[in-house]
Amino acid sequence: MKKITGLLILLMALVACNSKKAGEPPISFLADGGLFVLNQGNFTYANASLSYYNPADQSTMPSVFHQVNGVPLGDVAQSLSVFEDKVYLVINNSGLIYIIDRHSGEFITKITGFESPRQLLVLNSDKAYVSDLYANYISVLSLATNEITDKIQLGRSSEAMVLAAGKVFVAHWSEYNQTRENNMVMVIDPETDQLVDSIQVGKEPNSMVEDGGGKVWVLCSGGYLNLENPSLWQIDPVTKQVIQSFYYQEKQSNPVGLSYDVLNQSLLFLNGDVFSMSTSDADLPSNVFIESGDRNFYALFVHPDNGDIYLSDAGNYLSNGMVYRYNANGLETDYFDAGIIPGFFGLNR
Amino acid sequence: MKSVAKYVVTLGFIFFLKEGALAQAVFDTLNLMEFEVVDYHASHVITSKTQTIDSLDMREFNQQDLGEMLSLLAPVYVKSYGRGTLSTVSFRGMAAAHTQVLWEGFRLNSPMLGQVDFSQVPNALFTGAEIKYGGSTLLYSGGAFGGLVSLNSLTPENKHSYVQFEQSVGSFETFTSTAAMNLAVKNFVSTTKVFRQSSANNFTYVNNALLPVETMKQKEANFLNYGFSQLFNLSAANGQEWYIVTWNQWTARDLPPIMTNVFKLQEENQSDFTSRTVLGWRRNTGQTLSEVKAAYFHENFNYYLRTVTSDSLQNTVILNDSRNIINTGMVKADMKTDLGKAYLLAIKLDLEHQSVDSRSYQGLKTRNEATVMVSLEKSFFNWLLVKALVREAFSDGAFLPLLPYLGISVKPFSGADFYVRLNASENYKRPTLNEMYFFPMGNPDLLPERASQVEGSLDYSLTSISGHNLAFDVSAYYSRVHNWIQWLPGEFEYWKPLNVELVESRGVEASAQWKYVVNSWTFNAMAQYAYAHTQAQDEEVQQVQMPYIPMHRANGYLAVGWRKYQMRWGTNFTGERFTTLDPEKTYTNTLPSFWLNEVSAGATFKVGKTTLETRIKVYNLFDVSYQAVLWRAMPGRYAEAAVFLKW
Repeated sequence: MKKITGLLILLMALVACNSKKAGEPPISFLADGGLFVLNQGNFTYANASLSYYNPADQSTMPSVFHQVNGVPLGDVAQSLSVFEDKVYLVINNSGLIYIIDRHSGEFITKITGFESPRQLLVLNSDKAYVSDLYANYISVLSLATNEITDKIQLGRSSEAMVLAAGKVFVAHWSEYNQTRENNMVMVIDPETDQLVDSIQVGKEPNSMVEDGGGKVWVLCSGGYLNLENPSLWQIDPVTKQVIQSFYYQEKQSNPVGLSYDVLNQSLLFLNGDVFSMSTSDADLPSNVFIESGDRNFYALFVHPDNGDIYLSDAGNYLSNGMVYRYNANGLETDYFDAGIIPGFFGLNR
Repeated sequence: MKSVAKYVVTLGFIFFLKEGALAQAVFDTLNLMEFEVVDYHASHVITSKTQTIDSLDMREFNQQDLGEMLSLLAPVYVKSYGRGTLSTVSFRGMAAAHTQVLWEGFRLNSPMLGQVDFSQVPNALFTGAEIKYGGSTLLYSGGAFGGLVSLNSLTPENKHSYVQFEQSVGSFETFTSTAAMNLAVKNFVSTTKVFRQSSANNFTYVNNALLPVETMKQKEANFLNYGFSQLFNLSAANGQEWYIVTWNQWTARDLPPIMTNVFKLQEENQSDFTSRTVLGWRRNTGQTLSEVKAAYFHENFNYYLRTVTSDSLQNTVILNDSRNIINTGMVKADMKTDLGKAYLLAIKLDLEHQSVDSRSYQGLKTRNEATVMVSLEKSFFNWLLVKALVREAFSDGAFLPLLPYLGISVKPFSGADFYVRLNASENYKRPTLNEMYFFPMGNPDLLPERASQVEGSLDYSLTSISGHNLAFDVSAYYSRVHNWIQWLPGEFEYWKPLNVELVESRGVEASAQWKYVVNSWTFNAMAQYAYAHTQAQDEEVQQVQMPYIPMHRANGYLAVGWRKYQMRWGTNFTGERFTTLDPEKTYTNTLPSFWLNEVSAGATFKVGKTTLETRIKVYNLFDVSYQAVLWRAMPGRYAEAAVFLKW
């Protein structure tokens, strides 16, 4: 009898195991505190993907979106934002934003009606702004209905956005099909959704951060055709005045990916290699902080809790890229596989 | 006089031809004459693989484009973005730019793209097509590493006058009308051909590239394509002939987005106008064929992209209005002569001037080229043929490399149509103007491509064995292409053309044909298979099969006729393809293989001098869901019905 009972229990256990499809991810497998890596993929190839890295156990998971939802992520995944229990995935050339559950990766809904969405900035639980490479306005999203509710006319296209001193600073990055020069940071009042000011900076402002002292830093690459020397600008978000600016000596330089290290109060950016400078430095850094060697560093992320630096390597832009993890001192501590052109990071919290 | 009256009446009819009108030939059983071989040699003494598309096949595909026909009749790979949109053809593991298309001997390949959009070549305007493979293309043109397709409009289908119309109505609001009129008076022949095709192309498909997965209707894929050709041919004394032939075509088409991008608020379309005219004189004395001809090709194509806002679809956000005008002037002088003692000599002189005015370039770009080709062949002992040729071009102040070809054909058994053919050649291709100058991705530092190729083949045919005709051939080839030009992704999501140091391609092609006539029955069948293994040998690029070159391709058909009824089944298989050079196989870079089948059935009725034919045709018979190009939606099963009238 005991043998029969044992067999029955074993059989039931087997049936229970088989009820879950092989390879199917668990319901909540995206651990809190992990890192989303958004892989752009190649333009018009719709081979973007979402990777996941858990620093706690150094585990990785490729193609989360496809694994969970069974469809490709889309064409050129540009950026992501995590808010509450949702991840907003901005798929640039597909002209849409996917919203997924940040624990399970499951599709919740999508938002359409964009021309070429680039970045999403969450302002509060009700509202977010979406910048756009082609449109000359910012789209205002209702996070309650997941619909576009308004458009803030800028007269320019938009890229990076930062919320500082109660205002939203928007970089006019691309000059593609633009009549106005791409050297401005536009200022929007999120209370009224009105454009209230603009600040002239260098050509092609590509990334912005707010430092610990509440100042906004703007990194400008000088233009696709290297029309002017790249530059770094510090702005007072209250007075909306430029505090100081630094010009790179080499016109051919292409600094991108400005990031802020909260713990060390320093700025990091990519210019082939990784460079670091204190917000109080009087000059641009001349020494390399992390050498790229034969790696093609593409995106940079500094973990706010421990200062760990994550650098993506886009390789030849064709094959899957890699992500390298360094400690705050610039020593490599780990690496993991990503998808094609890993271009954006986001913390899962 | 009656003929002239018929001509005038028909011209009037053609101008008022609308969807729903009668038109063009489906499969004129009265007109099954095989096309003449364009070359001056009979096919049994060629030294390289050659394939002739005969009139029967041409009739079957009369309402389709050249790409659709080749996908079923030749061992080539047709990469189609969907009906009415870009369609390119590649041979023997080579790229689409390594395929050339000639019309009356003049190259149709765009100097900007280097390739031909086969969806814009309507079969209805041509009387024949010949396919040349590998090194033998050097007789006609340089740069066709894979092969070339030679189209012909001059060869008259008939030496008598006739008028014919064909009209087809198909799924997705597709209407095709064609008309042809041939007027033969003494030594003068006038042939007018007109076609018009329009389609909403709004097929339904399951979009499994977006969430939620849903059934969608293809949008912004409609196209309109119309044009005409006119040939005047005058035969004079002493074997002389004067001709002028013109081919004019207008196209307007929307370009649908890929399946992941259907919600993007954008409109993308292209409109083209092409006008090509050839004026020539030729003389055939029996011993010597001389020909002088000049051509002027004008192409005007505009690409238009705009994104619109969601609240006002009229409010343009961004605009790309790319306008491109290409003018090409060419002169050819050919002489082919029998020198006696089994020597044949051919000399060709080509002059070409290309001018491209494009908004995508910084300034007008021109190219000038003068080419001489000398070919000598000799037959020995009635079982050995040796052919050697050299091609030399002088372009924009410099000589290009000398391109040699050497081929032999051996007939080892005097009593059997069995041939062994071997050839070796060198080839050369300069970067296209887009590859060099297209802003901002053009790469002016690109090196030209150089190819070394060898080929061997066996042909065997059996004729009239109890009414059966059988033919078999097997070819094997090996090509090394230095500085292969490949568009690769780079910074800022731009794709940029770069040289791959070396690409090797090796493969096998095999085909079998069967024809059988018994009592009132006719049977015609063909099967082909092609294997192509093409890999880069480059430190920077992984050794994987080059993108969009399937290792395996197969096609075939079976046509059965009984009295006035005909039925035909065609099939083609396209093997797995990689879409990038990424060595890791993933769902986003690997397109699965697919089989497509089509079947047609029809009948021919004759009342007095009038012939009436009807036909129905079903495409993608088994409703296969497939992608020919990554994330491009393709239609499932669809059909068309056609009526043909001739008198």
